[in-house]
Amino acid sequence: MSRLGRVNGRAPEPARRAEVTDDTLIERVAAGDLEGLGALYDRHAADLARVAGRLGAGAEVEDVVHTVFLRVVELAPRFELGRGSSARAWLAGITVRVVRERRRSVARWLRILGTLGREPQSYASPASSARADVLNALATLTTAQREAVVLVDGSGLTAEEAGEALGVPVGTIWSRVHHGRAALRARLGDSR
Amino acid sequence: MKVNACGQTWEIAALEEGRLGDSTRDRVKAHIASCATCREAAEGVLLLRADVADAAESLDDLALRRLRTKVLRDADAQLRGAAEKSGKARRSRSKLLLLGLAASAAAALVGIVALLSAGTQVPARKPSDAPVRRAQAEPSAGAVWTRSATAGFDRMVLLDGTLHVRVDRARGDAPVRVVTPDAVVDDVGTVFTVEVVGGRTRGVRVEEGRVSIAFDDGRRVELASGQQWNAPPAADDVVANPVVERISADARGVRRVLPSAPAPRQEVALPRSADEDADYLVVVAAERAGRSDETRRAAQQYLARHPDGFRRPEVEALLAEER
Repeated sequence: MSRLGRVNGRAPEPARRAEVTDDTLIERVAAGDLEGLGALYDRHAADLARVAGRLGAGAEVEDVVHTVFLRVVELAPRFELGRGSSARAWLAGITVRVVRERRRSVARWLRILGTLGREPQSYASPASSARADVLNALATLTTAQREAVVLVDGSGLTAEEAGEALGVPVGTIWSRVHHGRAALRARLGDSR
Repeated sequence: MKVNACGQTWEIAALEEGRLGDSTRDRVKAHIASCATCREAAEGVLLLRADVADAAESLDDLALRRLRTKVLRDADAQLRGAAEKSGKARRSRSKLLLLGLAASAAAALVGIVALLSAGTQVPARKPSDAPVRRAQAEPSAGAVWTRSATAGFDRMVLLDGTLHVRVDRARGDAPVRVVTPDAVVDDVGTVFTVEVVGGRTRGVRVEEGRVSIAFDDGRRVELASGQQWNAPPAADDVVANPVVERISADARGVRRVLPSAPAPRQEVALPRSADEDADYLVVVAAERAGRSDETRRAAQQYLARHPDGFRRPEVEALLAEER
C-alpha cells in the first residue's frame, strides 16, 4: 500500500509553511511521511533548481532536483535536528554533490568518446546573452570557486552556511569567493 | 580586471560578507562614501552578485508540478522498496535462526545424554539476554504518530493526539526522543506524556525522571519529576512564554504555578572551521564587543599562529587600529 500522505493509516494535516520548520519537515521525512517531503519540495525545489542551473546543470536541472529529493529521503534519518545547522545549507550541499556526480559522469563519457575538455554547452540560454555570458564565465571557474560563488553570491547563503554545505572551513569559502569573483570580473570584463 | 588603486579591496569584500566589526564597518562605509574608486568597486561587487543570482532561471510552474508528482511517486517506491528489503532480510535472518536453534537443540540433546550417562549434573541455564524494547509508548485513541529507530534514537514523531511514554532504559539502549511539530522532547529515564493539538505542542507532563524540551525557536525547558509544561492559551504565545507548573508538590492537592526558570542559553554549534577561522572569529568577536585589550591579544595570537593567514592584512589593520 502506498505510504503517500499517510501516517499510521491516517492522513496527517498538511504542513503549514508558517508554522512547521524545515527541521520538522525533515524529521517527518525521516519517519517516512511523504507529505513532509512534498512540503519541503514546495519550499525549496525552485531555489535548488536555480542552484543547479548556476552550477551548470543545464538541461539536466530537472533530473538533478529529482535526485536531490530522493537523496533527501535517504539522508533524512541522519540529519541532526537542532544541531544548529541550516536545512537550507544541507539541501544546497546535497544539490552541489549531485551536480558534481553528474559532471564526473559526463566527463567520464566525454573521455571515453575522446572529446575531453569540451564543456557541455546546453546551459547557454538563447533567451538572454547576458545570462549566458555569466553562466559561461561561471563555467570557467574552478569547481571549488564556482560552488562557493554560486552558494554565496547566487543563493545568498552566509559563508558559514556555504562552508557547512560544502564541508569546508568558512575561511576557505571567503578565499574561494574572493578569487572566484576576481576571475568572474576578469572574464565578464573581457566579454562585455 | 579593474584594480582598486585605493588598495582597500579586502575591506570592501569583508564589508559585503559581514566580517567587519562596528567601528571598522563605519570607517569603511565612510571611506566608500568619499572615495569614487572604492564606491565603484563596491557597486561592482553588488552587480556581480546580482548577475550570478540572475544567471539561471528556475523551472517553470508546470515543470515543478510535474516533477513534484514524480519525486513523491519515486520516493514512495524507494521507501516501500527499503521496507520490503528489510522485511526480506528479517525473514532470511529468522530462517537462519530457526536452523541454528534446531542445530543447537540437537547438540544439546546429545550433550545431555552424554552428561547423564557420565553421572554429572547439568548446570542451570542462564536467563535469556535477548534485547527487549524498553520504552513503552501508549498513544491516545486517534493519535497520529510514528516510531522508528533512526540516528541513534528511539524516535517517535507525534503529529496529533497524546502519547504516554514509559522508559526503563538500560545502559546501551537508544535514548528516546519525541518529535512534535514545534518541539523535540528528549527523555532522561522517565515516565512522561506529550500532547499535540492543531499542529502545536499543548503540554508535556513528567511523572518520573526528567525530560528536556527544545522548541523550534531555540528555547529549552527542563522538566523534573512532578512538573508539567502547558502552552499558554494564546496560540501564538506557546513558544515565547512557556509556563512550567509544578504538580503534586502541594500536599493539599492545590495546584501552584511556579515561575519558569530562565531558559538556558541556546547552544549554537560552531562551524566546522579550521584553526585559522576559529582564531579569526575570536578577533572579530572581541572587536565587535569593543574589548580593545582582548582584540589586541587575539589579533597578535592570530598573526603569530598564521603567518600566511588569508585574513592577515585585515587582522594587521585591526591591530593597528586598536593600538
